[in-house]
Amino acid sequence: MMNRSISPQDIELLSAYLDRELATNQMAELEARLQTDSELKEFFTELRRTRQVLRSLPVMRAPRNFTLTPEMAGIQPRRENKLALWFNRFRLSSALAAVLLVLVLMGDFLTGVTPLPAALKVTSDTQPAAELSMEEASPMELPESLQAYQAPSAADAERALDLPSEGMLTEEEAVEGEAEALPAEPQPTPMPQVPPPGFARGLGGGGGGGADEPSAAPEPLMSPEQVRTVVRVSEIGLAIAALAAALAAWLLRRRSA
Amino acid sequence: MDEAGLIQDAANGDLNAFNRLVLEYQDMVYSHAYRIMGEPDAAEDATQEAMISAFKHLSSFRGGSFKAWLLRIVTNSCYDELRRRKRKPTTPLEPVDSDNEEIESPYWIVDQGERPEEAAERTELGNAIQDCLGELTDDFRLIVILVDVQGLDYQEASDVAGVPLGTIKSRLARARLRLRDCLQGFWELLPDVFRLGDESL
Repeated sequence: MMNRSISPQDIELLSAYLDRELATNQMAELEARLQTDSELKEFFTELRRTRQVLRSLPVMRAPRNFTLTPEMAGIQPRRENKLALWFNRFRLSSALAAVLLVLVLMGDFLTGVTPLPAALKVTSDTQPAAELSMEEASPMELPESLQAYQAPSAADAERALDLPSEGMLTEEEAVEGEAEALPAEPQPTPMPQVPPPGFARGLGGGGGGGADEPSAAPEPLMSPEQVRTVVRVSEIGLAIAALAAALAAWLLRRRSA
Repeated sequence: MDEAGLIQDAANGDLNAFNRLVLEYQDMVYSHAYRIMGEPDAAEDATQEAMISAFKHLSSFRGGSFKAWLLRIVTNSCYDELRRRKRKPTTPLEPVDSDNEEIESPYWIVDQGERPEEAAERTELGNAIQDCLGELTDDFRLIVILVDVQGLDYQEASDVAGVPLGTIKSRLARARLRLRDCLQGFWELLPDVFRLGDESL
């Protein structure tokens, strides 16, 4: 072998000299030795030829394209995760809305909010209905404030009902007129849009009010009709929310499948 | 091709911009992987893994030579595969048949290499060089591929291989020496321009 007399240090120097990676003084010193040492020069020639052969290797053509798809780049999984996140959100919303709907329906049924409008409708009718309500509610069982409302006769009630047509007054004006007349001579309210303060409290079993107290009693926050409306709107809203969320969750699941 | 712009867009998640870079560099990357692995299938796998890794870690590219950065990634992919192969050899040490009897001459013990006459028939210089590269250790092969095949300077090769400049010099010298010895038998295959030692090359 030709390199038996070439030291590893010289081989490293010659290799670096090939690549012009030597310092200037090292390069000059090696070039001087190459002029005088034929064996070193021959080895250098073979080393250079080896490098030339390696550099002649062509760049190979890729057998196929290595472009990335969104899945390979990790883009698709993130989208799927996002879809899954929204699916879970809609599913949870649907379940919560359904549970709330059931609770509201149960509360509606148990507290009797639903029958109340029917009672109000009865009281808003004309004389027979008024008489019926008076008969159903015994004077002995009602507080004094309500007994005062019982005193007027059916004729008075009928007369009160005629007020709007005679005087061309609205219902509200009629009610106001009745309210003004109450202290002197209690009259039945023909169409009580809002019952007297003592009325609602009397129905609730408070029973402590006297004839002079209704005006001082606190007014309820919402009338029964308003309560009924709120309950109805809540039920409808919750039902729509539950259905919409369930539909959205179903569509998301179909899209991600 | 506005390489810097494509790199910036790709770093911001533009997959189309990155794929344009892939098309530009895939031959170089595949070729590098093939020189290290010596097998087309393994080179394909390493190239694909390198491209995926490059896209995911593009934000870590701090400028400089994009080619050298890509070479570092594909080199790591190749080394991962080589390490995996060393950890999980697939050939059993004590071959037995279905009756649990030892097989005297299983097919994987028989020399699957070329017979002398087959080797004589193979005259492609590229294959000869690849064979000689395959005889080098992994570390030596990488350095000689980076400097002599890919044309990187010592500093770039140092950055890609993650070893000091002095190590690059010594490994390169020893690798060239071994390749020179290995290629002795193939000099007759060289074109005249190589055999005459034309210094202009």
